[in-house]
Amino acid sequence: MYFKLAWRNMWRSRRRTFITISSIFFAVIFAILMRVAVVGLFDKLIADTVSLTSGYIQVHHSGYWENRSVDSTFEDNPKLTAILNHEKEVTAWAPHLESFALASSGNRTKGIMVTGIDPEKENAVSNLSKKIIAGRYLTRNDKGIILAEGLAAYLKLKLNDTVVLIGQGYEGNMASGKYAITGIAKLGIPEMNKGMAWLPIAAARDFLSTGARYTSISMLINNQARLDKIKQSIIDQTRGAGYEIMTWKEMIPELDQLFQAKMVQNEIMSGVLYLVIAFGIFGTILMMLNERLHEFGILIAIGMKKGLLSAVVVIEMVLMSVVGVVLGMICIYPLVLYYHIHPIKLTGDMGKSTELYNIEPVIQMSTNISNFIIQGYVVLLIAVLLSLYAIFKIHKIKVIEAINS
Amino acid sequence: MLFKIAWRNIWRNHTRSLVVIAAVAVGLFAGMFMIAFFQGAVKQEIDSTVETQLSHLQFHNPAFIDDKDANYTIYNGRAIIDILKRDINVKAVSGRVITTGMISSSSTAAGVEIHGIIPGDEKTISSISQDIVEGTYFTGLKKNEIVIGKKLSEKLGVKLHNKIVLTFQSKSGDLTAGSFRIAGIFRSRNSTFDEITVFTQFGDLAALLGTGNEVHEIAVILKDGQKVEQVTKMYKKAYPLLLVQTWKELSPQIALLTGVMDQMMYIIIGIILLALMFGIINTMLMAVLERQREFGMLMAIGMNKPRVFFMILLESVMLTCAGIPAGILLAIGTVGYLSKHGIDLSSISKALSQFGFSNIIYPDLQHSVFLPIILMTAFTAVLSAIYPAIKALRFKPAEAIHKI
Amino acid sequence: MKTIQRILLTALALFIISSFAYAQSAKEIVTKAEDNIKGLSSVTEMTILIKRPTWTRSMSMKGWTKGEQYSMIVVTAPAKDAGTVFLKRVKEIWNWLPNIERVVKLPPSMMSQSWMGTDLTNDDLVKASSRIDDYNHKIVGDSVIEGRKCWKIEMIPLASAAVVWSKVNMWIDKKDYLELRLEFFDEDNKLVNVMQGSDIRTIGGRVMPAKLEMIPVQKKGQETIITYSSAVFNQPISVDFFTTQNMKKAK
Repeated sequence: MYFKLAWRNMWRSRRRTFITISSIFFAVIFAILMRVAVVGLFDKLIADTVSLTSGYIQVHHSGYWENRSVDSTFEDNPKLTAILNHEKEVTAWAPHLESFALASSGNRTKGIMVTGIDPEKENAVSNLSKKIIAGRYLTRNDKGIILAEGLAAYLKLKLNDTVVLIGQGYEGNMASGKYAITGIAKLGIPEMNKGMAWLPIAAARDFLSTGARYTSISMLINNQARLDKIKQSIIDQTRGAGYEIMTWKEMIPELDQLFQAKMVQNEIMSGVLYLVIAFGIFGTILMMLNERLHEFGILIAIGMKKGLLSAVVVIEMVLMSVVGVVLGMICIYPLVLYYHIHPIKLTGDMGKSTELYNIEPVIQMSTNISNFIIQGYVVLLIAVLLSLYAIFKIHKIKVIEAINS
Repeated sequence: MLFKIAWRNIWRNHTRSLVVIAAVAVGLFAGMFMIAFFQGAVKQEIDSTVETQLSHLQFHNPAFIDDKDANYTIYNGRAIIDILKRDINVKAVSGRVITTGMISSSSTAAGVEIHGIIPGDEKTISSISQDIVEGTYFTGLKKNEIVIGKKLSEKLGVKLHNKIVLTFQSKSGDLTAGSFRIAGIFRSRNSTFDEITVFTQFGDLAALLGTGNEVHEIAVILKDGQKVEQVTKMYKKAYPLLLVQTWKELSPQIALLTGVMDQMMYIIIGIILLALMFGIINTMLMAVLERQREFGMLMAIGMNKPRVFFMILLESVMLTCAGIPAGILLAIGTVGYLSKHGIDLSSISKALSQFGFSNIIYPDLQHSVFLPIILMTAFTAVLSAIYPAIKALRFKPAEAIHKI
Repeated sequence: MKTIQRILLTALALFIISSFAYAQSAKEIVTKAEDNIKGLSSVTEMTILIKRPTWTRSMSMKGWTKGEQYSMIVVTAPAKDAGTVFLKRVKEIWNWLPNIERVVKLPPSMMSQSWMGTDLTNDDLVKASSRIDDYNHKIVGDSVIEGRKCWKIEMIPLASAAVVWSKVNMWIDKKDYLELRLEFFDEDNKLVNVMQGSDIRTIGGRVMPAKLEMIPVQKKGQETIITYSSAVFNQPISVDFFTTQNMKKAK
């Protein structure tokens, strides 16, 4: 019965209903826009940083991360690769055979990290081929090496020159090799740009005398929010095999700390937005109540209980809020999807330098539905809470005054 | 005359007027708070990097960056330090001697970057002296004291007062070693920094390196961090053979991250102003709807449409003018309080507090933002009144009078 | 009274003199033992066995030394590593790697890396000369090792010495001044490294332990064993032998 009354009231003044719904509609839209922009920005920054360094999740031999020794490697295991291939949420994975080594040319020597890679798989994870500034990217059967730009400069080497690598191999073997420079890559982070080199895995295995082994496998996932669940899933499926599975948060805690701090800042700013939205909605509600004072007065005068009236009005508000929220969510989705596929480019002189750091200066709105639902829920909550004010106001009505307004 | 009518209208309906004033005040407050908050956040980030590692600007011998050979000292470094100390823009200067080498304990060894510093000077430049978790930052009483990071101490398996050996190449190319005792252990926000950086006293390291009084690095903290670009430019000109760099040039990744966040700020403020605008529009629309009878009456007794329009607009302007001071007061009050006590982010997020570092933001409101924000808010508020005002004109007087 | 006083004084004097003599003697003993090892020059053949919990590796080498400052070692087996040469000239270390035909100088950053995969570091090889100058020596007892009577000498590094140990115990055999056992302690007085000599024979005219074990006590299942199969001592070798050019011809 309340419902019927509420429903009819809504339709009696289309204009009023429309204005109320629209205030909630816009509130939801702004709340969603702000959230997807910020979340999308963070997700992309993390994705960009992580893809070049650690990947989202890595598989190692148990104990490897503590002392990174080439003796702490694991075998190339078809069961493991099958699990990774099968896991739908893992969008790409790349194996590495990595070790500290000395790179030398003439009388110049430098300590570096040399990584054996599977060129195709590596590219799917870190886009390494896009960083090549001279020569070409590696193929699986190459015998050559890619040097980071700063390293090549320090050793005074160019394309096709030879560089010597020596180091400690697997099981105490001495590692030594000479390689022709197939390509030079430029990395944005100066420390990495001065101290990295890549070999095809076969050549790296030869260098380190490891046989078919890896130091790590890194992977990308498609839904950052499910990071820990995916990690647990892999742990469960590989139990007993002696692996350690780590997320980027464990491997690069500084980055995690930075983003956690940013998330909190974002919460505070969302709070401010909610405040502004709440005032907007409240204003609308207040005006609506004011406008209907006369109507309420008459209803009470002819015998309607204040409690019933309050309930009906609140139900009206709830209905309108739900409609506003749902409509808002549906209408804004296409816009968000568009900006997800065609991210907003941030301007300024940042634009030029950023390709280097593998960080694209864009706002790629997140299409993650949970963002929509969370914001819709919050706005709904705000609207409903504010509408409870109606109960208060109706209770205070002095009938004569109301009728004469 | 219109003015008088508008004025009276405002006072006639307290509730409506108050709501609009409040909306404007809240909008203004929101805008100002956001900016102050953002400034505080950016400042905190910059400060923590600048204070721990980079300082505002640094001087080096250009050859030193690629190959930290002890020979690549700054020509006339001491004289430059004196000049810097007398520069009124400069808050603090520290000259350092730096080399790379190995640190060995009885169980392991690791590669490190060794900084030889003058504790008195360095304290004013780097916050590491406050990040000491065990021991002290150099008593200056003993020779060969060393301060290392917590992560490194764990890796080497050493504790306070243990002995370690530093091995590195001296100026003449010979392998040199010296034993040092751990006087203090620090822990900064950057665990990688903790793992690879160790601090010794200037004299101790210079003696082993054979570099005498020369320095490899001069770090400068300015009184006003915003002036870093111009001060650096000035010194780049004065010393064309040296490498003079701002912290942004030294660590472009951080500059990039903060730059991206800055741009976000404008977008977020835009969204808030839009939300404000729609909020006011809706409120005003509802108010206009409520006042249908009134407008109908006015138009029936002869007030022409343009006049009605301007009357409504005037009302908005006056309400906005009332809302602005309220908003400013609210903003100043809140930011004033928070800029002293700070907002502790770690208390809001458990995920953040487990890192164990304080994350306090001190909102910072510069006078320069007042005017733009006030203008923007006022503009938005008045703009939002236009649509409802136009709507009001659509009423047909006869209909309006009969409206109940 | 006078007589008692005199006797006491003399006894005191003797005591002081003898303890003084004793301390000097400790240092002398160590110096003699060290000189023993250095010899003037040597040409040796040896096998190195590296043991780890999960693997074992064996290498055969031939080495030339002159004093403590010059040495050259060439790997003779296994075939994969044969021809690799290690050269030490005073404080510089060089490697000759035949499979890539390059001479490489070891930078300081590689100094703490293990030497040829053993439990010795490059650092150990370069700095061994400090055992006499960087420590205070004291005889603290007697022991029997490998059926030989030994002094147990406690060596405490000088405050300024660039040494990571807080204490090194050395057992030196009384007859031939052989260093038969070394114990290295960290500052918590925990035993970290042990070097043990055994299988004492006459090789190349000198009495020496033919087997040396380097044991990192804290790392279970790990050790390096050097076994000398032949040695020729004091054959004159010129300093010019120890050059980077010669590395390529070493056999």
